[in-house]
Parts: sequence; C-alpha cells; structure tokens
Amino acid sequence: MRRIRVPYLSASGGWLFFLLCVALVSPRAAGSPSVALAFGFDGQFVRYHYAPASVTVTGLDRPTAARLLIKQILDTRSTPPRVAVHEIFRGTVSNATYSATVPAYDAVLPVLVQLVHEDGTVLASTTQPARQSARGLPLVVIAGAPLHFDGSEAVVSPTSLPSDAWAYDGVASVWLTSPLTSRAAWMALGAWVSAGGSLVIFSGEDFYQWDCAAARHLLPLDDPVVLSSVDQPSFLSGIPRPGARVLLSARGQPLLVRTPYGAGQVSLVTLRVRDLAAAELARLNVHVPRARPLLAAQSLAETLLNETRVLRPPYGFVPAILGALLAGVVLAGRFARKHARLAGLAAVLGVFLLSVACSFYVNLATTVAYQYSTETTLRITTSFGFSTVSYCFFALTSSVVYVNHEKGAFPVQAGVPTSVDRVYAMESALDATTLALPGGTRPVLRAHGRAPAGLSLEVADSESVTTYCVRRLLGQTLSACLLVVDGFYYRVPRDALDVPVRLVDLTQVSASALDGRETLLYRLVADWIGEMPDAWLVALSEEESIASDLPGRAKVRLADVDLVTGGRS
Amino acid sequence: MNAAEVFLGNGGYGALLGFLATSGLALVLSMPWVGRVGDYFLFPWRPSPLPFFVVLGFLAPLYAAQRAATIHWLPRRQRLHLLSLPLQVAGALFLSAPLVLTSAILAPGNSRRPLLALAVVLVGSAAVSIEAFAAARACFRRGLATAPAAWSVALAHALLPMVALVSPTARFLAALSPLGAALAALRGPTALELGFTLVPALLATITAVLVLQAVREEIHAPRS
Repeated sequence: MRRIRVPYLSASGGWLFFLLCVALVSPRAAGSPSVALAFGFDGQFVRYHYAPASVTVTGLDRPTAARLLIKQILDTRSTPPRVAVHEIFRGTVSNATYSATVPAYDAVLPVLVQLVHEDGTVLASTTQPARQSARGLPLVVIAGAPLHFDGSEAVVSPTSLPSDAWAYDGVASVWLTSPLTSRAAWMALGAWVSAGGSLVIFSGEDFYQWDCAAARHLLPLDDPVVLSSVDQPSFLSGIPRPGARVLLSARGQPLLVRTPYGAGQVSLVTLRVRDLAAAELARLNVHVPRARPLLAAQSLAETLLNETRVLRPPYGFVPAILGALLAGVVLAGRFARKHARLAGLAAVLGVFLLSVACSFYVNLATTVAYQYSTETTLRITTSFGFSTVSYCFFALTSSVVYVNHEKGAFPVQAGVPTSVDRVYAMESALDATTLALPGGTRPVLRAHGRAPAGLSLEVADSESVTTYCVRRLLGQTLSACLLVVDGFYYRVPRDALDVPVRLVDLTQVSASALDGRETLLYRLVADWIGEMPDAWLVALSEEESIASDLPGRAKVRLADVDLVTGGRS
Repeated sequence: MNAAEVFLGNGGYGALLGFLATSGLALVLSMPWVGRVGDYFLFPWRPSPLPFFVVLGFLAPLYAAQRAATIHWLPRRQRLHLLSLPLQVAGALFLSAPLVLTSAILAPGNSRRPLLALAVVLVGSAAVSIEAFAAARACFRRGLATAPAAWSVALAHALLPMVALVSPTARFLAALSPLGAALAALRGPTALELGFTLVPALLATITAVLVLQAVREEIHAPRS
C-alpha cells in the first residue's frame, strides 16, 4: 500500500503545483475583471450619430496590457454577421473608467463590450441592450439642475459632459443649468457651437463659478458683471456684442440674449435656473434654436467625387488596336492568295509588333483606376478649432478601404442608411479604420477632429481704413477664396494673398456671379454667414493623387475648406 | 496544300475575322467609357476583363469546331488536317494576343492572369478541335453530315461543364471548359482547377493517337 500511495501523492502534488503555476502565469490571474458600459447622454443616443461611451473596468488585480472594444452588430442575416468594432483603448488597463466617442448604429441587438488581453483572450465582456435608448431625432441635453419640457430631455451632470466636440453630434441643444468648470468640456462645446451647435448658458449669481476665458469667447456680452439688488435675483449684465439680440426680458432686464457664433448660436440666460418661474422657462424653450449640422460639407464631398475624372485609357486606344489587327488580317488574307509565305510572315510580324506595343502600354501606362475617393476637410477656425472630414468612396469592385483619422475620432456613416444593406461593416483601431466596401456603392463617411487651420485672416484698422490680409500658413494653392464682410462676398485673387488689401481693391460678387468653385463654397456658408458681424474668409484648396500601392489603382482627391473668422489687430 | 490554305481555307478566313472582331468588340465594350465618376451611376456598365474573356473562351472552341468540321476524303489529308488543328487554334489565339495584353489593364494588380487565361483557352480549344475532328470523322465514315457533330462536341465541351458553377463544391469542374478555365484563371485558379484544365488536353491527346492510328491503318489498308 505504501508503495502505491507515495507516487500517488507526489503526482497529485505535482499537478497542484502545475495548476498553481498556470493560474499565476495566465492572464486570468488578473482576477475576475468585469466591465460596465454607459452609452449616450443619460442613456439616450441618436442612431447613426456619435454617442459618448464610458466603460468602467473593475476587479483587475493588477494593470494588464489589453484592449477595450465596443462591438455593435449591424446585420445578422449575413454569415458571419456584419459588425462595427471600435477600439476605444489600447495599452495598460487598470480599474478605471475609459471614455470615448463612438458612432451609434441601429442597436437592435445589445451592444457588446469586451476587455481583450493582448494575447487575444477575452478577460471580461458584457452586453447592454440599447434598443429602447436609441432615438431618431436629436435630443436636448440638460447639464446640471434638471429641466423638463416634454420629458424626452437627457439630464446629465456637467462633470460628465464629453470633451470631444463631435460627441454632441446628435444633440439639438445643450442647456448648462449648473456651473461647468471643465475647460475641456467648454472647449468641446465651443467647437461644437462653431460647427452649428446650440448652447444655452444660465448665469445669474452662478456666473463667477464657471467664468473662464473659453466661456467668455462664447458669451454674447462684453465685460459681463453680476448685478445684485435687494428685491430681485442677481442677474448678469454687460455690453451686447455685435450681432447679439435680446429676445426676452423680465423684470425690466434682458433675460435671454442670443448671438451667432460660427455656424451655431449661443443663448445666454441672465439668471440662474432656480430664479426662473416655470412659465419663463417655457418661454425660453420657444426661443432656443436647434443645432444646425453642416450637411453641406458632406454634399461637397459627394459633388467632388462625382465630378472626379475617371482614370482610363484614351477612348480610341482599343478600337485602334482592333482596327489595326483586323486590317492586318485582311491584308494578309489578300496577299496570301499570291505570296503565301510573305503574307504569313508579314502577319506574324505585325501581330508581334502590335503585341509588343500593347505590352509596353500596359506595363508603362496602366491607367484604369478601380477606386475613387474624396476627402474633404472643413476647418472652422474661431477661438475653438473644429474640423470635420467627409470621406466619399466609390469602388468598381468590392474592396477594403483604409481611413486614417485622429486618435479616437472614428468615422461614422453620414446620413441614415435607407436599408440595413447600406450599413457597412467597419473595424476601427484608435487611429485607423478599415471599411469593407461593396463594389458600385458610394458611401459617405464623416469624422471630426481638431486639425489646425491652414489659413489666417488678419484684420487691421488704421486711420479709418480697414485692411484684410489672407495668410497661407501651409503655402497651399487656393482654387477659390472668398472674403465675407457684413454679408457681402468679395473675390480674393491670387495676387491679393499674403498681403494686406482693402475691400475697395477686391471685386464684390453676387451669388449669381460666382464661378463653379466659389459656388461650392457659397453653398457651405450661405445659410449662416450672413448673420455674422465679423469678417470671414472661406477658401478651398484641392489636391489630387493616384495611390498605386493598392491592388487596384485608387484616385484620391483631397479638398480643404477653411472657414476663418478675422482677428483684429 | 500551303499554310494559307490550311489556315484560311474552308471558311477559315471568315471565321478568323469573326472571331477577332467579336472578341475585340467585347474588349472595346469592357473598357471604361465614362468621363466622370458620377457617370458610373447614370450608366451602370462597369469596366471588367470578364466580358472579353467570356467571349474569347466561348468563341475559341467554336472557331476550333469550325476548323475541325471539314473532313477531307483522303486519309493523308485527314492526318495533316488533324495535326494542323492545334496550330490553327494557336494561330488564331496568337492573333488575339494584342487584345489579351490590352485587357490586362482591366485586371488590376494581376496583369499576368489574362496571359494565363489565354493559355488555358488555347489548351482547351486545341483539345476541342481534336475531339470535334474525331466526332466529325466518325460521322464522315458513316456518311453523315460532319458539321453538326463537330459543333455539338464544341458546344458541349464549352458549355456543359459550366453547369458546375451553380454548385459551390463542384465549381472546379467548370475548368473542364475553356470558358470556365479562363474565368478561373482570371479569378486566380486553384491547383485542382489547373489540374482539371489539363484533363481535356490529356483526353484529346489519347483521341489524337487513336485517330492517327486509324488513319494510318486506312492509308496502309489494301485497296479492294
């Protein structure tokens, strides 16, 4: 018995030791991690728009090299199901909350979140049903003290406001009902407003709690001060900026002041939210505009793609080859009746020479492009930088498209697809996205970022003469350049770039007198730039290249549109 | 009997011109004709090498059948005719080489595949010509019309294996046809497809040996 037990015990001990080693070495030694997802504003998001997402990781024993993935299933009919994957973090993951802004799809099926170890092991995953939270129309976000108009508002804490401007993509208006102290959130809101957003700021006695340089850029008042009195609540007062309008008054003071800022609007309520009666809040709601997305940027990308010249051999090349071949055969046939050998030799030599010529042509000048894409960057330069990139693709055959973007600025399909077949599977790493593109389709994607301005507009006043200087910061060639002052459009010729010019030196143009490129720019800004009190520069630069490193040649067209407001010196 | 007579006689001239003109027309139509990308949505005709090779892969066996359909009553001429058939097919496809080379610009990144497609069409069509000759000769010996047999063999050879394309597991069988082999070559053939491309050639070689043996026996047969 003893002889049997000893090896049995030592074998058991060996196994236990082995299992202990495995447990220590394996990634699961990181404990029993779990992940939780918070998606959208107060759980609400708009389909085919961006939504803020926060993933909270808990239960990790130690920081682990891993990735955080958010997966949304687009279509279960296909095999395997088409999925949109977004990697929101890659690196050393610890017990913390990771925030990102990701495109939200139809969310018929639950959203899947995975914590994936660098070796591919899924450490933790969870699903969150999002169907009930998905909305079709933009939503109102109340940041701070809750306000309810129709019960559909998303109420969030000001501290949880995202710092990516594009996170507010599906938002109709943001109401700051409590002090916002995060500079990053102010910068994001400022950029969003520049691009068409609508921001409502409650001030009154709370003003000094959130007063900062970024906030002052957005205010419709210069030199704001809080005025107090015994018989009524403190209110914010100041000198209205050019373009600012008082829309509502109460107690003999302006209550709601609105100013355009970039393509958007800022509405200032001069009181705190708690100082307002329900009836006054209802009146405010009527006067707050909805966000105005710059849809023209997407149509610009489509327009540029449609007008892109197709890369192909000259029209007459193939008919000429065919004609030469048939002519050679006919001639050879005629001569064959008399001089068979000579005709045969001539035919063989002719075909040989023709083949050599075709080989040279094919090898040296293969000019058929199978993929076309445009990348239109619209940069709005106010005190807050914001850029939106619209990608438009067309491929003759099914292909894979790679989109490089700013870190975390994942592209989203523009517009609501007409059917689920028009939703394209994509896999996004932090700074690049791979898109499976079916042949013959023309999807438009958009992404956002903080690309620096390519132009600056300097406005100088001296001795009652105002001069404007358009400076090219990247030395680019402009294909169209318009200066907009007080709603009037002036054409800026090439020789007027980088030098100060007066308005009288420039040609004023009406909408009907604009050329093709200028009309494209006009469509981008016509609906909002006329309201602006400042001078604006609208310029387009274009570039075209052929990417031959792909299996099928791709023609890539880049267009940069700069919208720059003038800074006075 | 000179080379011109072999290649162009018995309707060969018209068949050759028709073959080249139709293939060339298919290539002309395969080219991208639109000027702007937006026009692709107005005229949904996509440039692709497929139409050209479909026409080439279909017409080459028919050309081969046309060349094989006429059987001379003298056994010696039959032997010469049989031996010249692969050369005639090769000659016609050699004449189409400029078109095939030009079609390479429609096969992005795989400019060698059209040449491979041309090679498999050549092998398949040469095999068709021998099989069609054997069928036509058999009819000739029975006093029947030769052309229907030759054309039937060619059409069967060109089209019947294409039925296999409907089955995802039996697709490789389509390579038995010159047309299917050409499509497989353009797509990037598997080893199995390449193997099946050679099967008709093997069968044709055996047929040719048997026919040549029979012809020789006829030549040396005592006259009664």
